[in-house]
Amino acid sequence: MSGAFAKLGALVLAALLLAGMQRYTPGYAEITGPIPLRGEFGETLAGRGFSVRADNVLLAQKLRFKAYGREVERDTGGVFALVIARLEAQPASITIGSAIWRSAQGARFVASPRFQGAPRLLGTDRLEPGLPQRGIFIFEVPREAVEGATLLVAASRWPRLDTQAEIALPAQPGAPAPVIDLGELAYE
Amino acid sequence: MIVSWLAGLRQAVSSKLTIGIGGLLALAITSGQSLLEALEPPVLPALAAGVPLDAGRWRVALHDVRLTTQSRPDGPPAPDGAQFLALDLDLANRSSETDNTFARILAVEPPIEGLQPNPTFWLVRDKAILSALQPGLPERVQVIWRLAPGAKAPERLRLVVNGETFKPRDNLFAAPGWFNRKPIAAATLPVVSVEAKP
Amino acid sequence: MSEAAIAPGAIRMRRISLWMLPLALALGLFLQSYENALEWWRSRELFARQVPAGTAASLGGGEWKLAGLRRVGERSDGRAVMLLDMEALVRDPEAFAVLPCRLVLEASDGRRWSPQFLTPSEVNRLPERRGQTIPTCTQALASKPRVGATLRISEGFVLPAGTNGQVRPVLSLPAGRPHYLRFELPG
Repeated sequence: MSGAFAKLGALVLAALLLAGMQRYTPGYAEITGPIPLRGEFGETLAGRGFSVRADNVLLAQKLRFKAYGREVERDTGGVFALVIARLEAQPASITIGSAIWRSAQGARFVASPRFQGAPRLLGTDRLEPGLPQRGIFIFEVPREAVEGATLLVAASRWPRLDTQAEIALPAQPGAPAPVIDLGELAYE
Repeated sequence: MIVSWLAGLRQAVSSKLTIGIGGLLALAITSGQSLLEALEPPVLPALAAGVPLDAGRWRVALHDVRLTTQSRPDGPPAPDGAQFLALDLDLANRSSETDNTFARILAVEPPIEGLQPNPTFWLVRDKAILSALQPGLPERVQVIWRLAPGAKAPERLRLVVNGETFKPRDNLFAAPGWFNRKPIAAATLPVVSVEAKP
Repeated sequence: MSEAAIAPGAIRMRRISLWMLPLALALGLFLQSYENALEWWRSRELFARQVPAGTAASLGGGEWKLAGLRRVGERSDGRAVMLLDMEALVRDPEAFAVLPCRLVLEASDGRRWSPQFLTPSEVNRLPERRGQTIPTCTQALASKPRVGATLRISEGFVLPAGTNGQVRPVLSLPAGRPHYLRFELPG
């Protein structure tokens, strides 16, 4: 009888091991996905191909800017979050293809495409080594997603075995200003 | 002799059955499933104007359809007198990631002759083309189809809304995604003729 | 239950089979992917050919010569705007026309700058360039020249202050990899 119990026990143990492996093995997309590079606000993170530093976070209800000779004003149902950052390419020219605002709840907001032509918008021009760019990333997020967020910066939208910088943004960025004019932001 | 032959046969059958029971069961279950799916009635539930519907990663509420000469929201009338069908709707992103695949949710069925197959989606807030919608922020969107010159303007527009289901780990990459797009509702809206203000 | 007797030869065979398993796996992996691995290795830039100033070197269906690397101006905060001129003699039109063309400026510390579009007003600071349109490398390759044709190619670059003296042009073509050319500057 004990022989039968031993065999049953071995069977159950094997089943548990297999179930555990099946449940907790990271999927292919995760294994071949972005390589996170975590850092703090204000710290320069140097990844493969580029380095990034987030300097400031501003919130606004409306943004105003001049694009292609015309004054444009954008409003939103949520709030605009501006991240002032510094990007540099190392060692070769590179284009930063994606900036994502990951909220504390896990939602991912890609940088807003409504701001073509805005001044100092990062991600538009290619980065060259030795020529850092200081500019802004503009995100449009609901109010609940503002606090405790993370900024994800990578060279492509779906990095494959490539660096994705993760910068922890301030937990309480302050109250949103009614209007911010992008031409009047101080970058230095 | 017959008895022993029958006994041998019974044993052979029972052993083959034991070995093959798994395969037989799988075959029976899949046949039953495809039979059930084929038997489902092809009638889609009706969607009324103004009622929100969860269609995969979008929550959509259709409002009204207008026959207009404007090719963009609040734009000037088109120069060659072309006509457009403009559909107003509310669109909200239910997923947790910024998305631009809203063109998949609407299909004109049955197709109208002379109607542009791929409409343009406009963000009414900006009066510019809609590129992507952020999660959790509903927007008023206008979908504009161009009518070929000389085509008869329809009186009613029947739209089929497609939905998708979410899978946290898909079969190929174990990555989350939305799959199995299929129609979940149909809406028939009257086309209102609008005179452009001079 | 009685156990069936196992022949000692069978035990040895089973053990050998077990040890051969990793070998068989490795062999299978190798056979499946050696082509891909070879392709990947060949497409990297591994072997540099130094080209002395004033001479031409062959790469990917053509013979390439550095015609000049000049500084045409300055932008804000000391950035140098450089103009690179090359000449290419076509030997094998099919290999020559394979895009993309990678023509970059490389500094001694390994940093590389890709070409940028220069406005005509910047290019025309050189009097001999006024009124001339010289194609970029991509445009030249795409124009499908014939055997024996000599093409002029020009690319613009923007470099940070302080580096314009120590950069060298590097050319890499898909048809020529894993070799690539590094041109010496005259003087």
